[in-house]
Amino acid sequence: MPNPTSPDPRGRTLVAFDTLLTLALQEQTCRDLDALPGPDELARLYPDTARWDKRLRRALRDRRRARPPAGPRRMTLRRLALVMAVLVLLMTCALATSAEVRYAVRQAVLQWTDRELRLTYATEGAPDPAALTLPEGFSDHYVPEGFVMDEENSLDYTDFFFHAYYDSENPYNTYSVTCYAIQPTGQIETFDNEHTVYETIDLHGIEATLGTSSNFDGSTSYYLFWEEDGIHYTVHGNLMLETIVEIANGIS
Amino acid sequence: MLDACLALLDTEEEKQRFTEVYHANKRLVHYVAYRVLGDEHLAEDVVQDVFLRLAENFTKLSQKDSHKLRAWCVITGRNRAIDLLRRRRELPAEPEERQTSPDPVPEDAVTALDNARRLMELVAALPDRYAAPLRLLAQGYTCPEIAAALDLTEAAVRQRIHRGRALLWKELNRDAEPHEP
Repeated sequence: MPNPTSPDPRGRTLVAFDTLLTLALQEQTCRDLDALPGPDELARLYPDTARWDKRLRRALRDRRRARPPAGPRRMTLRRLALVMAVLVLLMTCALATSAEVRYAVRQAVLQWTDRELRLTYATEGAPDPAALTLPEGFSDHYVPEGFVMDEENSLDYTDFFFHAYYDSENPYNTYSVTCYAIQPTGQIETFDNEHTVYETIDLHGIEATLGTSSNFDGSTSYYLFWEEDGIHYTVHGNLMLETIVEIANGIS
Repeated sequence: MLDACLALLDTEEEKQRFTEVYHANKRLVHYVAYRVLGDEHLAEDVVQDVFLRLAENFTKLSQKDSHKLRAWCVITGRNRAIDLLRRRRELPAEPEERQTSPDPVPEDAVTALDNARRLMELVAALPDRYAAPLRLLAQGYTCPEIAAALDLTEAAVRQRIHRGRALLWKELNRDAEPHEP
């Protein structure tokens, strides 16, 4: 490779083309900027820019509203609040039963209001302590490729877990898995009912409820929840429905 | 207060810096855009567009010094104004692939220092589609930053930089004796 400033046979100094080009581009930009009016002249040309400022303020405010949600954090915090509410309920109600029949989840009641869908579990019978915790090794075993757990916002206890995930390539793609052993006094879960349509689907022979939400940015997210053997399951995320179902089938 | 609306930015320091950059350059951007468009309101559109782009990319762009940010504002403003003018006149954007690509610049291309003046002239006459990304590149901006500023894909930015360099190399050697590496 020639020396960037070596002479040629005619005695002229040679330089790397890219070096000279960069200098020429920088020099041309400097000249263009210097040729523009200075601050005083511009202030004289445009004495009042209040209208521009107002437009930009409005545009910045609108852009803030139009921004997609802050990915995993926003979703998981919302879910986290829900899980914490369930946790409080678990802690406060765990010792409140004295029924003598075999413990079981008797029914799951769905109640629709304008804003939310409320799911309440009713139980009967005396609880076996083992029924109040999740089985050993119980977890969501299928994680779609590219997704990583949001450790900071995930929780693991003996009787419930909340696992949040985000796509390492696109953090706006998120999902969460919530599972808990239904406690004797039952639990209450709430889901959005303003922007979500619900239906029942068959999930490996179990009747599950599927909510399809239309997000403000045009994307779709799903709530898939069901009860099986005294355990409540929710998978929520803005992934393909097939992926949501695959995640659901991977919980054991 | 502008900084009250700057939820796009993370820290108070960034908000303050952005406000300073905006007030220091808004008139300049309007002036440049107006020279291209000849319309006050369209020039205002460009001012808004340029500073929204700046706000969205400010975390990275704010690392540059005031001179480089000023260059960014002017180059981006002029480019956005030209784009707006093209759209209003319903001129189709030139498809990248239809243009004849000049021979690529040799990897270790050298040229005589005496050619500096000629190269300056060629740079000044280079169409904005090539000049804008090349000038931003020379100011130290990265391809993703240039793509965000000029509303292009990174691939289009790389292609324009490649073509712009090749055009300048070809023109520089048209009259002069080429210097084989």
